[in-house]
Amino acid sequence: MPTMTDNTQFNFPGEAMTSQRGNFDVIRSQQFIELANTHNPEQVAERFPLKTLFGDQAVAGKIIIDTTELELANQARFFASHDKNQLTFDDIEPFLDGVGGWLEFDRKEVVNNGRPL
Amino acid sequence: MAGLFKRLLTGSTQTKSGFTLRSKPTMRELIQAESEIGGNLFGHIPTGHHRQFFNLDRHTWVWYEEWLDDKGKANNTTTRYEIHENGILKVQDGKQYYYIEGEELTNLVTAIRMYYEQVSRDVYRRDPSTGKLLTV
Repeated sequence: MPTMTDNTQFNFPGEAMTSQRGNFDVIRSQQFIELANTHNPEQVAERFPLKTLFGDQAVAGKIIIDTTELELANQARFFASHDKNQLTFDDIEPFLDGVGGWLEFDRKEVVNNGRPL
Repeated sequence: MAGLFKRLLTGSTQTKSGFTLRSKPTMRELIQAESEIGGNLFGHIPTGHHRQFFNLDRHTWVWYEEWLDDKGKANNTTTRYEIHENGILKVQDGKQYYYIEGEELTNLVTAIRMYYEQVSRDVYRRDPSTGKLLTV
């Protein structure tokens, strides 16, 4: 799980997490990790396209976002930022991996510990 | 996993209004509940149609639809979207497989996002953004 050490540095002990939500743009991207460790957050957000998922928060360097829901406005902003024909698998692979991991996590939690549907 | 996939498409587990709540639901029941939400993401379902869209596992999304034709014959189609390292492979029986792109890719991602957000809230009672359990 990534941990912030200050506004510009964070560490990844091992592979990216699957249970920490809200940071679609931090998942399994060595390029992003390298950028984040060598550039300031504004530069990282500028160069990493999925930052638009979180708009200003990502630009502000809050890589781990744990308070704000993903609003439709953010979705619209994300897709509006890409020409439909320009959206590539590389753009969305971290997101897909995150969703798959989180669903897997939630299912196991409920199967093992039980929670209401 | 193939067995689970088959049971999901042919099973009749009740969900939502008729779900028999147990302290620990099975994986199949959870995915069944997810699939009902997924099937309603794309708007009105025509009378006589049954639609499911769900995440089978970390790398597989499934669209299943069945309907009766004009002669009352049952038809169905299953589409698998397989996430590979180099793209999302669309797999349909009897059709050529291909990696989706452009608008089709965008639409699938939009559907997955909607699915995740609704399933998080309605099945797992979690905030989709933070992963924290909802208190209400």
